[in-house]
Amino acid sequence: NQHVYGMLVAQAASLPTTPQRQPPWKGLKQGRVKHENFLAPEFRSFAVDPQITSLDVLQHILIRAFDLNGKKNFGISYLGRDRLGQEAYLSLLSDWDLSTAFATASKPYLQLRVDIRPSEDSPLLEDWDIISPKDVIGSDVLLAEKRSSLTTAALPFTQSILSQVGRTLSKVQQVLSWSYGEDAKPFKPPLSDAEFHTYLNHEGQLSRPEELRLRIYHGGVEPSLRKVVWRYLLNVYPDGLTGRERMDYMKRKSREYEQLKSEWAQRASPEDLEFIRSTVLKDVLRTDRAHPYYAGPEDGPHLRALHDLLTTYAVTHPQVSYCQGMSDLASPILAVMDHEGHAFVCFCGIMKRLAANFHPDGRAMATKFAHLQKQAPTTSSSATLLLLELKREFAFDDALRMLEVTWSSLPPDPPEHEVELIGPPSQAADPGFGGHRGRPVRQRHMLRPAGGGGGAFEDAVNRLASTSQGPGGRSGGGGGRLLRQASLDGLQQLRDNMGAQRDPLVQLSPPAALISSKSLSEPLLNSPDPLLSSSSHPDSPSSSSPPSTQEASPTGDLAMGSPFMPEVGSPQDTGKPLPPPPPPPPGGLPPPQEFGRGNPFMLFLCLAILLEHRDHIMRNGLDYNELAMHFDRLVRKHHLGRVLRRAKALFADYLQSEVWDSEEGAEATAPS
Amino acid sequence: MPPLQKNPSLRPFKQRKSLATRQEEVAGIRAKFPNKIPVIVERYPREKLLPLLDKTKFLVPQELTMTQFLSIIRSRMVLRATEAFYLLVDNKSLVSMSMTMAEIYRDYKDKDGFVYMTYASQEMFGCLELAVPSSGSSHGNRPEIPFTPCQEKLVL
Repeated sequence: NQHVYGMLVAQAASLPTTPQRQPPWKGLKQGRVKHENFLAPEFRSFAVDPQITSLDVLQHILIRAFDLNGKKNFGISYLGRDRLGQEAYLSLLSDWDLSTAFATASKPYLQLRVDIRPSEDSPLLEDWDIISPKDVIGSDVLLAEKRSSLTTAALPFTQSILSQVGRTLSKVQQVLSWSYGEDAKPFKPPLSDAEFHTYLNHEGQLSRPEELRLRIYHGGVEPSLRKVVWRYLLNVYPDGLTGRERMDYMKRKSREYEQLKSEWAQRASPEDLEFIRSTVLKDVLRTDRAHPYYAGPEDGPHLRALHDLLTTYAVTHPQVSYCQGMSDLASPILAVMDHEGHAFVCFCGIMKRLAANFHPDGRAMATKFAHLQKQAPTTSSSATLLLLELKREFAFDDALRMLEVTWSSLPPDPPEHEVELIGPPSQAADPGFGGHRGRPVRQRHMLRPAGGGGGAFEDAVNRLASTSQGPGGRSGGGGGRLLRQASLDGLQQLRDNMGAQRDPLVQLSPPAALISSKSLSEPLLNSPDPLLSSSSHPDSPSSSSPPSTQEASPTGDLAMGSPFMPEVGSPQDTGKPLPPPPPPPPGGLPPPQEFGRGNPFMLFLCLAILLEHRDHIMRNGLDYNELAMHFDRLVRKHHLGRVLRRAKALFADYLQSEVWDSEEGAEATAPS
Repeated sequence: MPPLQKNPSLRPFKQRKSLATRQEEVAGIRAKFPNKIPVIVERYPREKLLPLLDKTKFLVPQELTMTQFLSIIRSRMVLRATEAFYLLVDNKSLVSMSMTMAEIYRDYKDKDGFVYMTYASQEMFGCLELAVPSSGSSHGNRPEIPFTPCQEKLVL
């Protein structure tokens, strides 16, 4: 009696996913191979997509993996919990069992046991050639004609994925001149402590920052290690610190924070301070309260810490101040750091990049939003939470993984000396520390968009921009709602377009004034695209940026397909007036340093989220109230594994394609 | 007519097993794979160009089209694109390539529950009948279809 064990690493929500360089189906199944009999069972691991893996397919995979074809009869069982909560192998007999197994796997992966019965038990299967859907794809002539490179890959699931992604993807394909990379990279587990140390040299200095980010992009970080690694991802440490220096640095920074915290009264007028504190408190009390870290009474220490952190930030950054949504950013950081001072330093690190999102003129958001529209018109509705880097769309723990993967897709940008804990003083006419900022925030919070006239995306963006003139104009809750509302108009328009068989891409060129591009580093990209090279702005905002970009992300990275992007100019630039470039040409995507204003990967995440639900939306022809409800229901329920995998694939192809259209030098087609 | 099947293993499936055995077999496999269609695929007895298949019994997903099934069989035999290959259902029909296996099963299944298909490198003009010796031991009660003269017209 032989026993063969199969380990199935199911891509459940909490798992890291397949690497980015490959189309989704490339990473779906991969095995470690070992074959033994009864005493020393055989293990193999796979990654399969729970959504599209039926029992049939699974059986077929196992037959192939353990070489069982036609010779033996076997039974599959999975390690789950029985009614008493004990771990036990439960038999897996149907697709229903399989989905239960995916949902309830007792380990981060689904562990299967394959019991091979002697063939006498089942003469039945012996002489059968069992054809599974998998075979179809490998031999489908029609498909082969369409995409020869795809068929040579001869991997399963191609068909189902293609049909799932369907039309929207084909739009993206046109734009990206979709290519299927042949280099399969293995599925990676989260970065462990031991592995992390291989990225440090003997003095404890981080020796390979780009590689570390690439590694995290592919697998995420083990939760226990986040506290340490996130500080790198958030660009807290200057280059070259040794272990001891890092500790001293964090201690010193924490003391600096405590100092700032005690200076609220000196730095803000009493009424400003009161306003900030009350706004912050309102949000803190409803941020991630379901998570154990923030559960408990309203005066709990963690809530208090979050409140103090945000208040201190608002007081010391009068140009940014506080606006709703920041609490959503700070909360995971605080929960991971579990130290108020450290969390503040990290928060300053991330806000260096994100402050523009919260900036009064709304330009950053409008750009991201417009870019998203360009990729796939459907994407508009999830664009809502770009502001928060999508954090709210996922359950808390998934959000942590999503954040670290997103962060690691950006090039390292360590501070030159150290993280600045104090922002530039308010630029408002008001003397002193931003006496200007309090009331407008309050007023803007009350603002809601005036009813939905128009229906064109441009209207939405215009409204978005106009409602967010004042500091903190957009808010996490209200602003998110506003964006959502706005974007639904866009979606409605899209549906009309689809019906009319027109190319929606052509219609979605956003208004010129809203796009602010910064073509800082085209030369780095070695792009063959003439549009790209002709697109440098003569009055590019910062002439010092290209060299620093070069350091941060050597050209080689791009050539190797690294996810790192040349960094967009530092967020401080956003305060300056930028040249208003013409709108982008239809049918192309901007180069990475423009796309999504420095965080292009996140846009692909949005796109992936929408693609996940595209079929449902299209099939049921949801109108936009229904659509809003649909996505509201889905908040915190998105399947991170699937979304990330899809986003990475899209992102990889975007990077490979190098057919970016700069936002300079083309006419916008007027939307109808 | 020369004796075609000297080797017992090359005798048609129907002759090797009794109707009862076949029916039992179908019942067993249908219970195990309710979504798959049991198909017997055999080589036309006089076929000289195409190789034999390893297996004669196939379990085919019911949503597969004839085209897809055909290409699977082709790939099992490792045929090149230039090699002709025809598949006849129930020994007499060239069915529409867009039919699904479920439809074929509905229209052409034998009384034993299998669908019988025969392959050859040339079209057989819809009048192929296998040389089934009347001495075949295990026919069950299935009435044999009489031979048709056009078999002689096939030049192979």
